[in-house]
Amino acid sequence: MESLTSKKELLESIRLAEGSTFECDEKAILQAYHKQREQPANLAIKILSIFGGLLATVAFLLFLGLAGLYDTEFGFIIIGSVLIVAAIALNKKYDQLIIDTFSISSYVSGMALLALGLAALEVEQNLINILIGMIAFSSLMITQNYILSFISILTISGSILSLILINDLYNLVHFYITGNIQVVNATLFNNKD
Amino acid sequence: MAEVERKDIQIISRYSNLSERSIDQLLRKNIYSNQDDWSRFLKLFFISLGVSFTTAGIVFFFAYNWADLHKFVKIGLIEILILSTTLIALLPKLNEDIKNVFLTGASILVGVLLAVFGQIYQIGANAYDLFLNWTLFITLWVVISNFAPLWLIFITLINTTFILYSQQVAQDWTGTFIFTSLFVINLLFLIAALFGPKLIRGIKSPTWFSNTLALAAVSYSTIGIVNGIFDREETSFFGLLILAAILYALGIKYGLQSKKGFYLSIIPFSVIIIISAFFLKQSDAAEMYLFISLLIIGSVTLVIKNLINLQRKWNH
Repeated sequence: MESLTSKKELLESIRLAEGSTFECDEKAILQAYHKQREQPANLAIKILSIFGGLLATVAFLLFLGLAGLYDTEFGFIIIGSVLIVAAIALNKKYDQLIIDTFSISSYVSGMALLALGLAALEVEQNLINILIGMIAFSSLMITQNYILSFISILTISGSILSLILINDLYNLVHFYITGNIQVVNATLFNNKD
Repeated sequence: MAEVERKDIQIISRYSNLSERSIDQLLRKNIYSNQDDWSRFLKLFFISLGVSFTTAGIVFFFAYNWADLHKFVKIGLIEILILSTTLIALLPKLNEDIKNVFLTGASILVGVLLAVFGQIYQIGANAYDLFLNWTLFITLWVVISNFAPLWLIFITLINTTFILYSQQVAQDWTGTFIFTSLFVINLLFLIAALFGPKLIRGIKSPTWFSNTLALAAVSYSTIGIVNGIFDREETSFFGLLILAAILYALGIKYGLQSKKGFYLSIIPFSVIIIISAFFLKQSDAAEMYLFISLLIIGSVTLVIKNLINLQRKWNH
């Protein structure tokens, strides 16, 4: 990244071009740049935290399975909910790259446990899917952290796909693909990073 | 004026009353791709898409196994296609990239020819000799064109030939030996891709190419070592372990020197997987899984923390 002075120059040139009506919070701008410099997020780091998080999730779920927790449905639902809430709260409170691995792991295990618990209680499959999709959607609304957003969008997309598959509405897959392409397009063309 | 990035406009517009019109102007002037960019992109995009659709179409045409066609017609058709694509690649007026795309198409057609040959003479389409011949026949084109996608196809073919050979002929090879060899093969290509451009002038090697090779090499060593941990311990396993340890150390050193975060993330991740496998071998009780889960989170977090610190240092 370039030094902060060049950013100041850029700001000055905009000020010149805009004239006297231009007002800006210089301190906040420089602070935003500073934060960006302190937390450089490149692709390698993002992929590392996603794969690390998923691997840890698999190990954690295997632990719960071997520890015999699969017999207590309510335990599943409670632990799952706690994990989801903890992941979102952590992300909301500290927007730090360092906790990403932990929050992914906690979020995905939470979702999986919730779904398994509900399935064990023989809740309607459609209902479980809709519920998981809605939880993912609301966490997308609450936190805009890139990794939780990524996982949430995948979850929403997955729950819509399984709704289509469960109900044998295979013809809707075409609309599903179109919808996914729209989401990808919107992400690519509004790329914030 | 310094170069304006999308991020700059975003940050500044968030904390100021920059008008929508000015933002639009700034974006148009500095960020959006202009007509030239688009036409350059589309030219290459359409030619690649066209060549790959055509070869895919041809592959499917023959895979459909058109019984009515005489075998000479089948092979003759493909040979004509190979000849014509290669001749197009020789046209002096064409742009270098387009020639290379045609040569890549011709290389895939060689594979189709061999598959049809295998089908007609009933030697199966996945015999290792077919892939070996395919690799040998395109070697010259690969070397002459020096086109990264073609190199990647070539290296994939070498890997495939080796794996098929180990399955079909050399059944007494141990898993460790196979993975060690694959690790070394990909590593040699990686070293050539990284240091070739420095030694010989005029050779280009894009980052995605060397990164793909590095990922392949590290995956093979990881799979090999994990496989060795769960299998019976053999002497060759320790060889692989020592080799991997030395090369990982060199990889980390290279990553630090040339400021490549990619190497500094895949190598530690491979080590984390290996350590987890080692613990899993000791005991597969429930507590061990909890321990491994926490271990992975902790170590990945540590790696990320170090990477962030390094990048901060590199940026200053």
